[in-house]
Amino acid sequence: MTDNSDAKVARNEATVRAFLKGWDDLDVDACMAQCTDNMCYLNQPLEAIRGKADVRKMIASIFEPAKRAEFDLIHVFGKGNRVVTERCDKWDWDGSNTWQLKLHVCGMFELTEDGKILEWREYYDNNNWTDDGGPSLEL
Amino acid sequence: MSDSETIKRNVAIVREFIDAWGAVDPDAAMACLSDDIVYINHPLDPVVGQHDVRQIVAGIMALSKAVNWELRNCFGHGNTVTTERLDCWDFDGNGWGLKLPCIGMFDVNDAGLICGWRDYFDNKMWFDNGGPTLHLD
Repeated sequence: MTDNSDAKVARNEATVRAFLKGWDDLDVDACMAQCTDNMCYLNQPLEAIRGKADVRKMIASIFEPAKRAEFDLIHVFGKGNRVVTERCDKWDWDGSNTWQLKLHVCGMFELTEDGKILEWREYYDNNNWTDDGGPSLEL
Repeated sequence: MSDSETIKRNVAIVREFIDAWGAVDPDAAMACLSDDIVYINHPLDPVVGQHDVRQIVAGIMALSKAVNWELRNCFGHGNTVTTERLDCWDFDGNGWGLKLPCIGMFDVNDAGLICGWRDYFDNKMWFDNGGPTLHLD
């Protein structure tokens, strides 16, 4: 398939949407089903987390204190093996049915030829995350 | 204009804007932006309009000895263009004191000017490494 294959881009966007739906559902299995064994998760400018086992551990530890999450997708579009997501990630940590954290974030995803997520690079303000209840993003 | 022609035009104006940063040329940068430009560095407040955005842009450039926004990814869809970048800054003449990983999302209007500019990066990394103010006092 060429870089401009609409079908490949649509498939990749669907994979990324399924991955992010896993966050809405706080379902780490659903997230990891979209990823390669050697995936890399990078919260800029923190240390990269590499490999499915460690990424699973990281995501599970974020879900652990969360009562509810909802990721508003502002833009999702791709080209070639890449998909960008511009989002507002909303988090309820205390179960009060309000969003204590609304994080504005961009995530860039790189996918393999067979449509799995190989790399995920997140760009956002880390103090915004930690100041409003976000747990540690280091293993 | 076909969709692909529009996207090509939009990507070109965004690249022109990024080149203006490399040239540290506030006039060239501002020429890429619409009169009603909305510039947001999340989670800071939006800066709206040519006058105020110029103050920020010119203010940053005045404190910059050299700038190079390395473009890692740049592609568009509809009216929007994404740029994944490593923004390299020399604030003191001693080399790249700050290399800031960043994604900028740009909305381009029908006239082909950038009307929305949203940058996503770690603000602490910016300010701790010499980055000047990003809001109007």
